[in-house]
Amino acid sequence: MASLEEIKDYLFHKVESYAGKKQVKVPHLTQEVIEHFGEAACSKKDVKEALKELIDEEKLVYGYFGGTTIELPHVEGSANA
Amino acid sequence: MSDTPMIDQLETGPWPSFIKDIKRMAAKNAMCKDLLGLLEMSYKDKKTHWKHGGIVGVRGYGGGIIGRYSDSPEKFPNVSHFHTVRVNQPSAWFYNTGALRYLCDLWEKHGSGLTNLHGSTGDFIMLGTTTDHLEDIFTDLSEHGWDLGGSGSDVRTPSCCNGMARCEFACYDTMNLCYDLTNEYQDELHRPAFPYKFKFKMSGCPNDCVASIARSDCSIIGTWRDDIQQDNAAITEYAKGGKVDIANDVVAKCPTGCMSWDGSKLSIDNKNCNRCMHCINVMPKALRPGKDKGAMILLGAKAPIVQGALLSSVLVPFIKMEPPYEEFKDLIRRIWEFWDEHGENRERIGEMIVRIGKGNFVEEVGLEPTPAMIKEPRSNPYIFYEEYFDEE
Repeated sequence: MASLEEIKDYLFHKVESYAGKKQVKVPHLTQEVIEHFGEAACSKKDVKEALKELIDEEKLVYGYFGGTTIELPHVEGSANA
Repeated sequence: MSDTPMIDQLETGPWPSFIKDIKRMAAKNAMCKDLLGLLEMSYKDKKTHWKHGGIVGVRGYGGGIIGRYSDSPEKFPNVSHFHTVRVNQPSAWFYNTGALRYLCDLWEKHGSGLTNLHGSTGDFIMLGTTTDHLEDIFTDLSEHGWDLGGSGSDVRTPSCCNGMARCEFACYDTMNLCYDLTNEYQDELHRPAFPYKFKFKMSGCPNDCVASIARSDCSIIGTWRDDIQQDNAAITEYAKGGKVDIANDVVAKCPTGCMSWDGSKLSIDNKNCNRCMHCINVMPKALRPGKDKGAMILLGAKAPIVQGALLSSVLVPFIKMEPPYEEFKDLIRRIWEFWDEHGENRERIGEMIVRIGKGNFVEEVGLEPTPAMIKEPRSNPYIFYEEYFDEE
């Protein structure tokens, strides 16, 4: 079984790897995390819990780009204009 | 000459104009003054000057705030940010004046003061604030017992008709179900994790006053499965009163022709009634929905965004809709699991059903196909009875 910390860590690095390249969404991320750890070691519920903690810790944030995305926190470009 | 000649024209029509409201607020709020200028520019340029999307929200929530930024902050600095806040409305929009005053005061303090009651999602919509006000707004709302509604790829704020609170036709307690689902699905409402949005709307009877059949992914519409309750003395009163021509106004307009009137007696072939509600609406004192009440569940409505518009179609013809609604919630769980697994990016559940076929969907979510799973009454069912064809 993958621990919650391991899942959080992998999830965070996945989002980090997409930063500036792709607007990534929760179903896609969930699928990638489960594929990485294997279904026996990581369930959808585990990914959901890991994501919830990362959001609450403000390490990741929700964004919107034709549906909800998961992103690294940053100041919106438009907000600075 | 006015600074806004083009949008001024919107005030000249026969209907109340939102421009009038904005102008009234512009007298005391700089955001509204700049909003008029930005709108005028949009009408002149024939394009929007709002930018949509990005990161805007409150801590822990993925929904409830819709980010809006202007592309012309140098010209209209007071609307460089103009975010929308969706507040979860009370079931069936019952407010007291104290609640409305509180919400309006909050919005004059932290935003433009402009509201929209209610948005098509059902929420109390607050239009126009800046990012630095969001946490304060959320904290204040929470302290006063309010919560944000849904937005993005989540369960949108469930909404319902006023049901048993004011309507004698209600076949189940819509307000209770709405409140129950709102609480049950807090996580799904505030933490978007679906392929796209998912809306619940609840109507107490087939009149469908909240138009759930057109406006929600899951429409829960009250119905009955026994006979229409018939008060023959009251029917005679209608006939004698002369206000209702039973032959022409009721019987002739029955869509399935299941009624007959011999001048003194109304007969209803209830097996052929499709619950259109017409006769009940015309003679509410004489006819009523049956006693064995519940709801039908329909799935798949949506407005045109990625693909064209769809109406919901029947998934469960009849279900008893009583607390704690376990049977219904169990079905929703199976539906979401399947959609989560097989739905494509930005694909609404109705679009997925069209793509994979209703027969396959019904099988995957563990329902028995029935001939009542139809798009509208008197249509062919979606289901092909393969065993039947095999036998031939």
